[in-house]
Amino acid sequence: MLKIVNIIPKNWSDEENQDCEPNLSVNPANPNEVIVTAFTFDNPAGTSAVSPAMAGNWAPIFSSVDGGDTWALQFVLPSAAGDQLPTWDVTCRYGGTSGEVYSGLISPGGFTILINRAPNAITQQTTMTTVTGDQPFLEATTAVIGGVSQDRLYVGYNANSNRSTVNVFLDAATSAATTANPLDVRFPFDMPPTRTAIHSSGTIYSAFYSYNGAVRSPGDLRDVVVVKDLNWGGSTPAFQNLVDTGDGKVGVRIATSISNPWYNSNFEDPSFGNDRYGPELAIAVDPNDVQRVYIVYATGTSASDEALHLRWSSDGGHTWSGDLRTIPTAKNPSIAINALGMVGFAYQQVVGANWMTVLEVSDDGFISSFSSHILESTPTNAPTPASVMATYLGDYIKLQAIGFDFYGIFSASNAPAKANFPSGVTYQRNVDWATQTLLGNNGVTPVAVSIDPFFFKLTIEVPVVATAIANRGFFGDVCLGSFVDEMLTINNSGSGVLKISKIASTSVDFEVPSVISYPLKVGAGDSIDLMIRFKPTGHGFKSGKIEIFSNDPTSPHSIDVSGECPAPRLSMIMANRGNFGNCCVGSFVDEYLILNNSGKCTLTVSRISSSAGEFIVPEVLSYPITVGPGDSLPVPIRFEPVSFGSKSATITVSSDDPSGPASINVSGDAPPGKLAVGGSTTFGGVNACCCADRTISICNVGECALHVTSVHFKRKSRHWRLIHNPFPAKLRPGSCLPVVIQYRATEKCSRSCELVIESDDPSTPVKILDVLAYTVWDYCCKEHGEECCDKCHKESRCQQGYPCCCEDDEDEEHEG
Amino acid sequence: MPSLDELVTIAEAAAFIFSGSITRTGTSTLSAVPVDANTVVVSVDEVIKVPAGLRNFAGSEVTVQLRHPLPAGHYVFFAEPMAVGEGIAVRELAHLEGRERADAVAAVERAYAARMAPRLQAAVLVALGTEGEIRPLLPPAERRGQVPWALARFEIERVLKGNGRLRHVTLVGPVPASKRLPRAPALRAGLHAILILQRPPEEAIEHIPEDERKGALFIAETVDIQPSERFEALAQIIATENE
Repeated sequence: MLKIVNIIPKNWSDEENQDCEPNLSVNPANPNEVIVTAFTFDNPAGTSAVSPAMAGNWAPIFSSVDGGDTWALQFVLPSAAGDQLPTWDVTCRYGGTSGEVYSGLISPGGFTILINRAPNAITQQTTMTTVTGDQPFLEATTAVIGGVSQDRLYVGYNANSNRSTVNVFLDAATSAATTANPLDVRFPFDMPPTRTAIHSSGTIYSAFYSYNGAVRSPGDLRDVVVVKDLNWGGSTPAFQNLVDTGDGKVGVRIATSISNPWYNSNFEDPSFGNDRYGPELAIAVDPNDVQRVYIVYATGTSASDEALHLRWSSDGGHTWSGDLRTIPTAKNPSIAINALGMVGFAYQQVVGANWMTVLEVSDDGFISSFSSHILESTPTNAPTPASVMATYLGDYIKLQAIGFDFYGIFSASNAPAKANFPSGVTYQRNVDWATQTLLGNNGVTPVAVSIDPFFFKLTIEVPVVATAIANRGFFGDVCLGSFVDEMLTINNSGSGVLKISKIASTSVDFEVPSVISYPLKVGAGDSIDLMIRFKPTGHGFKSGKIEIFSNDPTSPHSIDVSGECPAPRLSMIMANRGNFGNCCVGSFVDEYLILNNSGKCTLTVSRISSSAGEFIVPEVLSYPITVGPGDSLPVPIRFEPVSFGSKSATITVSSDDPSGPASINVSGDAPPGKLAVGGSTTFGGVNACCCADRTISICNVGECALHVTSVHFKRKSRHWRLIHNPFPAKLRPGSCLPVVIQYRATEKCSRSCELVIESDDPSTPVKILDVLAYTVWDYCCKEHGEECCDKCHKESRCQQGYPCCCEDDEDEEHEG
Repeated sequence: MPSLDELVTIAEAAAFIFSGSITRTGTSTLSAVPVDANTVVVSVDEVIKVPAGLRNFAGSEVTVQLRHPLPAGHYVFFAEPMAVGEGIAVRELAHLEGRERADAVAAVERAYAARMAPRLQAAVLVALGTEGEIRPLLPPAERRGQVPWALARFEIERVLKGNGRLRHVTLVGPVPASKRLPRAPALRAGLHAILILQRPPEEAIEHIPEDERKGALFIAETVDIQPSERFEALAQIIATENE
């Protein structure tokens, strides 16, 4: 919002003075208080009088206490009755937070500069000190040193009309003590303007034009020089902190050997809007960055090639850019940098037959863009130049930044035509807008057009980011591989356009929308909705911040976001604690291992393994296998023992359960067969040459098959033989097979024999049975001896058996 | 009550001399002025002296910051400007009772005479006329560090003092006003006024073409330019001085 006010008070409506060369100061402690100086008389006639002269001893300043909306004249500046100007060059400043008002003015009595102060804007000023020179230009601030507030006052001027000098007052509110600091180490002559810029750190920049020659001559060229002091201008020596890399001398020359007329013709030049031009100069430092400095200077040999040059330094004045802006046919530059780092550049330019006062503002330091405000566009010949002063509009204007806002003052024709003020204007003095006529105090008498000071204020409309997101930014439960979108509303609750330059997330789990082209713009009071996506990349609680970078002065803004990515949870269930029970070798038992997902998200199983080969996991053609939340998957596990005994193993299931692979113990038993022998192996006496049989049953009384691998006599004997031996054989549980043992009673001396039964009964892998029999030799055998069996066997004498067959006598192969 | 001599001094210093009645006490016609018991609002009924260009002061209300409290009544105020905003505020230098208005008028006239008499006495020529076109004596490049001298022809209508047969003279003076000669008003083309003229300073004569040097004259002070309506008053002062 731009406000422009003609500051001539209502009861000064009769005035027809050339109120030019204005300067301004806003009280930093109270921005509602503003003061302005100009060449304003203590009588309305001013330069329009038959003999322009002061009526009394006090020249006025303009004062506002409502932020520039209304103005009054306060007659407080020392002058003298009869002087043809109220003051010559004059500038004023509020001290800083002290509220003290300082002024520097050339006494009408010559080149004496009076440096004055007063406790406020309505009290007549008292002179602190005087110096001799030209164009006093003040800057001031309040520094707090050791808890004590001190006004620091800097009076830049052309001492003795020769040397650019800064008089430093380190405690201006209480002491007139000052140190004069000549700035030019190269040449003995400088042009009138000496400008300073103060940074709150105590760094003071100063700029001036140095005559590029030991002796003034009409063809003199100029150097534009910047110096710096790091200690409030109180260093000894002061302003020595910038050294030019070209010649190694104090003061960086940002432009050398330039043409710049010393106020060209020193009169109101028709080819330059009826004004003069010359050593235009302004300098400003960023309040937030002491290294960032801007300067404007002028070059030219005539009105046709005169131009202003805006440049900057990012390294505290050591090096400087080329032109950021080049303004032809212009004068009265002023620059200021606000608390947001925005650079304001004001100037007055001849455009056709008009003077145009322009305010340009850039939020990127004029690197690539700026906005432009035309404050006024008025004819260069209305009013007709009074030719009292050497200037038409004056040799300077002033732009100042307080906080975010820009304040300024310029002088221009007061011809009351709305079209002259495209940004609008308010007049306090009496005006008939319909007839475009100024009216006197009585509101009736027409008043001639003249030059008036105009106050302006550019209120930087600052956007303010406000955000809204549901549930305090908590996205709830989102499973891995899935996502949830939530709307983030960005509202601009401020007064300026919000420009969003970047939206970022501090967490990979929270995604911000892709923006094809920044900035995003949100008007005052408007909102935009953006979708923020929670797409977790891992399990567990996730949090992050969504950061919004914008031109809100408090940028960036952070919004906390969070969400939960629940993990699947594997639970395993198996009957009987994983005990498969008994299973015979060669057989198998299957039991189900239940994989249950007791979590909120899908369980992904990547592997099922067994630590023992007798517990067999199912074959899975393709992993992974998934189990939905709350679902179960029965997985068959097979117990297939390959040997007898207790068996155990660990079944391990690998999944995306964050707790890691889960294991369950399984066990089983593979019982063996059990050998039992039934029947007697005692034959007793057997008549000689008879054979007797005995049958034994070899049984399996175990739970699993019994492998009888061999039944045989331990030693060979022609008296013993197995006439029926089905072994080796496998006996099912509970089954038996007979073995028939034959005794051939031909022993002269009985000897026991051992029947060996070999099996896989682990408890009795070898069972030995004694088989007992003896030959009963009767009188026949005794009679016949070895021929007994041939003589006797035909007789039915085998009571326990049967006669042995003769051919059997030859069979001495015994099965074992 | 001050003596007439004192009054003359006060009248010379006062930019405002007017008569009026105190209508309100402890108040102001403009917010820019702090108010105390000595702040009064006066209804102006007659103007004796006001700053040049201020019209219609009579009949208006003005805030007066008194030196001392005054009871309601009619007074003649001598004042200097204090503040101007939505109203006008002045600071009292002195006051007279309203019935002593004639003394105030006399003081103003005597102050004027006292101010002008020495000027007139020192003048070489006092005449009513009109300044003509300005001719700068120095090119722009040479004006640096010097008074920007210029010439203008002064067409004479009536002579108050000096050679009555003169019809024009050459004026030399700065154009524009110069800090190097702060008291000397700038020459202005078209100015119709009574000029009280002196011999130019040597510094100026050096720059005047030789054929114009002899008769060149110079305006030394702003007071040496008087509006045409002052002709009779100046004539009277000259006559009085001659007596």
